[in-house]
Amino acid sequence: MASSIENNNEKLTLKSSDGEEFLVEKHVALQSTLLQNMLDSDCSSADVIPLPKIDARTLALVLGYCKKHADASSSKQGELNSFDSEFLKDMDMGALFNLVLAANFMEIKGLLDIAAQKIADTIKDKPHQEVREIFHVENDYTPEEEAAVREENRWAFEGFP
Amino acid sequence: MSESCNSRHFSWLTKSCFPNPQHHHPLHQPHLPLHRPTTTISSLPDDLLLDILSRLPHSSLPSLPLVSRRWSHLLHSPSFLLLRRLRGQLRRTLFAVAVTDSTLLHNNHPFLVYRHSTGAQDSFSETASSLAREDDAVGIFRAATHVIGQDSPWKTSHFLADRDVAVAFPPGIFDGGFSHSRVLAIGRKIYVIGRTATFELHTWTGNVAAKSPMIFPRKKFAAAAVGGKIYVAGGAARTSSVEEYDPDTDSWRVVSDAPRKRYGCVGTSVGGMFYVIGGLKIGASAGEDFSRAAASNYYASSMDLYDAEARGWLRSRAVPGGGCVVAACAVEEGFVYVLTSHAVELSFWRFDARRKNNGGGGGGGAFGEWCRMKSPPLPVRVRLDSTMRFNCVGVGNKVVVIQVMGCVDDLLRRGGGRRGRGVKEAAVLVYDGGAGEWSRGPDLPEVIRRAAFVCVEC
Repeated sequence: MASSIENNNEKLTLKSSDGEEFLVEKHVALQSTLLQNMLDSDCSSADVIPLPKIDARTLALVLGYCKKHADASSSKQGELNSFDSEFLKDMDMGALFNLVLAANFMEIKGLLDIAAQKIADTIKDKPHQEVREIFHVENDYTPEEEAAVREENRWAFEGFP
Repeated sequence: MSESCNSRHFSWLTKSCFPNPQHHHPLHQPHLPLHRPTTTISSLPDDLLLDILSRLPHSSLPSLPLVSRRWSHLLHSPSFLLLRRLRGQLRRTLFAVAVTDSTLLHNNHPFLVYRHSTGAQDSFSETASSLAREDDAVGIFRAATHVIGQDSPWKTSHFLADRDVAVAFPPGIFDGGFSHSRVLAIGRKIYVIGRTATFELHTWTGNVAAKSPMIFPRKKFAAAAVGGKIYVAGGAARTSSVEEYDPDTDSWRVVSDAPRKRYGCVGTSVGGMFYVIGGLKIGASAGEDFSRAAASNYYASSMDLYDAEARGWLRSRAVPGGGCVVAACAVEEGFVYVLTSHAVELSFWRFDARRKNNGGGGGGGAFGEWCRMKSPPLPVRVRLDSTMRFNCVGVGNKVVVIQVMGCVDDLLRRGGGRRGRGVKEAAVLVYDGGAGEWSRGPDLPEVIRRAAFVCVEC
């Protein structure tokens, strides 16, 4: 039962939705408020913690982020910042969304912040048609409704601060 | 307690957090992401999409409701506003909304609106021809905007309406009466309430829409927004009723009768309370025992308090120093500030409006306490008469006093006072409630006169 947990250098096993198991050091897992709460409430004796909505690819990314931040928590912030931006660089949108979902579920605030900001930056300054295309959002307005909404938005208000 | 830990596989977790834990992706090669169903922005729950949208700069927002119904719904939700506020993304912008002059009326442009904003370097010069930017659009309101505390001038712009809106409300409807109408904000929309017409101005799009007028025509009435609704009182000889406007249904209804029929009063709100302050008594009859002057004096410095939620009136209060209330506003931390005139000087009072249950400021027990504050830095010996008028707006915890009529410079000159230190029309004075100090804001641009003012978080 406690096969994956050692006394001094505790580890736990996380299982992804697609069945892959990840052995994680406890201090790395503590980056996740969800896992922290589980460990605090003495629920840590389970041999495997299933994370049924997080696939292996995403979980690997999440744990990579956690490890870096756990190991570097006392080191320079600048180094972490550059790690963060490098971490998300060239990541495709699908992976980013998975990351946001995972960070939200596992309650990893820092990761949620950078991933959500990265998505927001992609939306920024784009016309709505382009946003629809990039994010595959279906236009569910009827032509009449769209015309009406468009009418309301005919002019951008120039007085904005 | 240990029972909850019995499950070796955290079924409690999967049950509570994953509606369908048995669901497995139909994929067999976890290392080939190309084959998986792609997660899209549409798979995100509302709170995550809101989180993302709330991070966008303001300039990106106006066109986003066009993306889809869901996006529109989220962007217009109270949660979105709340998140933006928590994130410090909202700027309290002071809007000055004004009527155009008569030359513009000839061009079928009855109103101008000004809005004063941060960081704007635009020139204030405006021409009538710039008003109609499209053939079917009429710049019926003009605005100047400014963010208090930022070292930039007011930025001017227009709110545009379709021609049919403008035609339905031909020039003259606010003629001479606009300065007596009231301007309020709910969310990011501004409501201009005139005697017989109401307009809704959208601060994202600059769009103007006509809305239902009040049931009773009013002039120089008190108005304030409480809990997403608008309350008006006073300003009508025929009724003492208090009306409530619901923007969602675009409808007015009478909710109460005011204890006093006032005219020329000021309205404000904080902590769920609608304050009706100052003004003159309407309909004082000759048969009354007390002299009309005494009754009027009481009205001029008194304040009626309507609890909008409980639908009841609290005991009326009066400014301790007496005098005549010339302007009033509330600030977020729970105070009502009142500017009163005593013929040759102004005094500035703070009413503690923090109610016991709102927990703000640690106090709460001091509800109803008056405190005299430092007077605004106007030249002391100014004669205050009907040629001078002030407007007061709460912006966060600051009070902005704007002189909307008259010119202290002229008065000083007439009285042999010094030039240059006076206050001309459109002077903006800012009182910092925290520091207890006054400072001078940028003057209103020339094109904006007799404006009404409102603070909008946007």
